[in-house]
Amino acid sequence: MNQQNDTPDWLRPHLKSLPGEIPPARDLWPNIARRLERPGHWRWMPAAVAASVLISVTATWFTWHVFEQQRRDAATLLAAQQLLQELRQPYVSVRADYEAQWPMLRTQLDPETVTVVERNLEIIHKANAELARALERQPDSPVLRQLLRQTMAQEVDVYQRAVAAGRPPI
Amino acid sequence: MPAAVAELTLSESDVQDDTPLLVARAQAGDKTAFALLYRSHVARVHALCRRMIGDVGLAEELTQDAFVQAWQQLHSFRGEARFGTWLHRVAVNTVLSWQRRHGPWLRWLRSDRGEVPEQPVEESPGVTRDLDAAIARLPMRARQVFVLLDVEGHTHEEAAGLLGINVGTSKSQLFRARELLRGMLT
Repeated sequence: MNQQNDTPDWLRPHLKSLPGEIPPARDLWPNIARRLERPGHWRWMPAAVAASVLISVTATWFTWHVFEQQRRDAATLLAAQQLLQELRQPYVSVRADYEAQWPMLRTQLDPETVTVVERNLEIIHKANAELARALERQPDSPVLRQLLRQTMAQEVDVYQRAVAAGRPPI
Repeated sequence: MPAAVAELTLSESDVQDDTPLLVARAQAGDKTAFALLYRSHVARVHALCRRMIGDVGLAEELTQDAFVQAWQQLHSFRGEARFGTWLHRVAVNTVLSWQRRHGPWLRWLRSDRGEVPEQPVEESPGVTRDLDAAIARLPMRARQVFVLLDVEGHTHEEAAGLLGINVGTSKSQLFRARELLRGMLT
């Protein structure tokens, strides 16, 4: 560990007053507990090793496991698609409105602003698509969910800025 | 998870003596024991995540990720270090791994036009005298180095190892972080 001998004098009182603990604003345990319910790889490894002594048992187990994995993958994909729909739902109508307005709005903006807006929208759409793919693999990830919401909010924000830029000056 | 356990609030000292026992029980799959370990360490882990990531909302999500990672890796804890030390390392790795995966476009998301600071500025313009708020406004690499060294007490060698940078870079980033903080705090 750092002995902090070189810590500047002006910084020491600030560091001393810094709390070592900051409790989160909400109870995180319920979400964690839910995520712990999902079986981890290491939990079934001993069972797999034990089964390997009997080839026929192993083969049966393997076949079953592959079948279960496929079933789980399909179920996960379906759940992820439903989740994506739920996450996107609050933004669907507002996005559709702005998308419908955009062809008219872009004629009222200077070309440079149009370029910036369209470049930003393109980046957002790419991020959104990447997040959707990531969520299909990790539908339980709260971080990915939050980031997806952020990208959608950011898209609405870009449109709002474009609308504001298109208004004639007062 | 019984509700009564979920509502418990423990300080680290409350369970310090029982930590080895709780760890052993958790390693055997006892989630109630792990919940008690969570209660005693969550504020510490959350503080670390919050300072490393510089974002309150993401810090809570990464704190959850860190405890899930800890549960999944618990079998690898051999008791050679204190559980809190081991958990600290798991949390640091969780944050850094997340930043490696999502950092580039997260920076863009946080920006106005793709080139704005890494942290949305919530404070009023001008001087801030709160170190935590000032840390959140540091650029990502400088913030990580500062938190690991000056706040968490790691050496340059340890921080460089965790961050995958060389010691010289760690030193220059620490210098940069301190200079930026001095501008904000004095």
